[in-house]
Amino acid sequence: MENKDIEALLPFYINGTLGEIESAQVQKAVAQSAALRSEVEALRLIKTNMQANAPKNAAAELGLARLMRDIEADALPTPANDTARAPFRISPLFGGAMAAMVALAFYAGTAISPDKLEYIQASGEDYTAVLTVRFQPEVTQQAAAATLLEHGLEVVGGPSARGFYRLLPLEDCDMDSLAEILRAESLVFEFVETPQ
Amino acid sequence: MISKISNRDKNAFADFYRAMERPLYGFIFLKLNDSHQTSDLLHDVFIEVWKGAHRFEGRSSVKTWVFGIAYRKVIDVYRRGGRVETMAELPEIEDESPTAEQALAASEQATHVRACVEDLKPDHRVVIELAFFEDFSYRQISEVIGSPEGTVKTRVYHAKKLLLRCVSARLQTGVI
Repeated sequence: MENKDIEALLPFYINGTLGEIESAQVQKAVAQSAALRSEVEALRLIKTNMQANAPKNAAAELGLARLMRDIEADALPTPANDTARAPFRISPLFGGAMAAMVALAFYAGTAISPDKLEYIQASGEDYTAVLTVRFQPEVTQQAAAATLLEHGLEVVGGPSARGFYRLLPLEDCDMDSLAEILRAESLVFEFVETPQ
Repeated sequence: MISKISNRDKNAFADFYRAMERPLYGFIFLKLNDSHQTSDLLHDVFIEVWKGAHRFEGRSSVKTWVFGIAYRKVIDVYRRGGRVETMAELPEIEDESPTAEQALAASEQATHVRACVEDLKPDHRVVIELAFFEDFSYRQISEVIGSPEGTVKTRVYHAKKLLLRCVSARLQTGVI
């Protein structure tokens, strides 16, 4: 086995996935070469460093809850039923729902196609200092709109495929404090995150 | 577990999610660097598992099958976004392998390692991450990315060289 082949196998020698024969070949080469030993040591430390800093999903349980909702409602992402995941629901029992939805859209600077219930962002601007939220699945349009009005928030993006919205405060404010206030509105918001 | 999922066992699916969510999230996040986009893609991966479990034939391990789904979805995002590869092939300079001392010092600084991994171009980066984060063998990586084992080894060889060289250079120049 050439030196280049040995070097290519070093990461797998380190992670313990080589077969017996290859592992023995690498082990022998490493024993005979100070440069390879040095490289093995360096790669081990880099591997340890990488694993120690592995990213974690802060919203793992939320992700599972949404998955289970989707599969239980048989709401797999098809165009016909995609709107089932939108947080604002139109119910025949809910008088004035469409009016409230349109009002919210007007307030939020978005346009709505009522027949498709799709939000079309009116502005192409890319906001960065925004909060990202997801509404509780059962929240009504009025409750959501009232909460946004109360806290001086404007919808500038969304919903994403998973129902995330981006909210922009109308006035300068401390985003962390605002996020805490919104999190306390647990009947309205399922998830609130400050800009990263 | 996959056979249970293919039979629409929701508890098995939840168990599968809890077992695979962390490594998959890390794998995707390291490529997209956006928690919301990562969450969306992760959701799509699990939906595909739910919908496609009956198609899993057991020719690879479940883990490599699912990582393969995630990898293809990440590539789709790259293609849609026209992502530019950030680091070229190995520069034509004389090879100066870092000393163990240099690498040791560098490896203690997470910033250097993270920055250098992020600078690798995607097809180099993915093999290093699968080898070092997930302890995949080169055969498993080959299954995940759909490339021959020889290609995986070549990419690992170059990625490793670039990584060590980058870390060493950052240490020498004091870049933080």
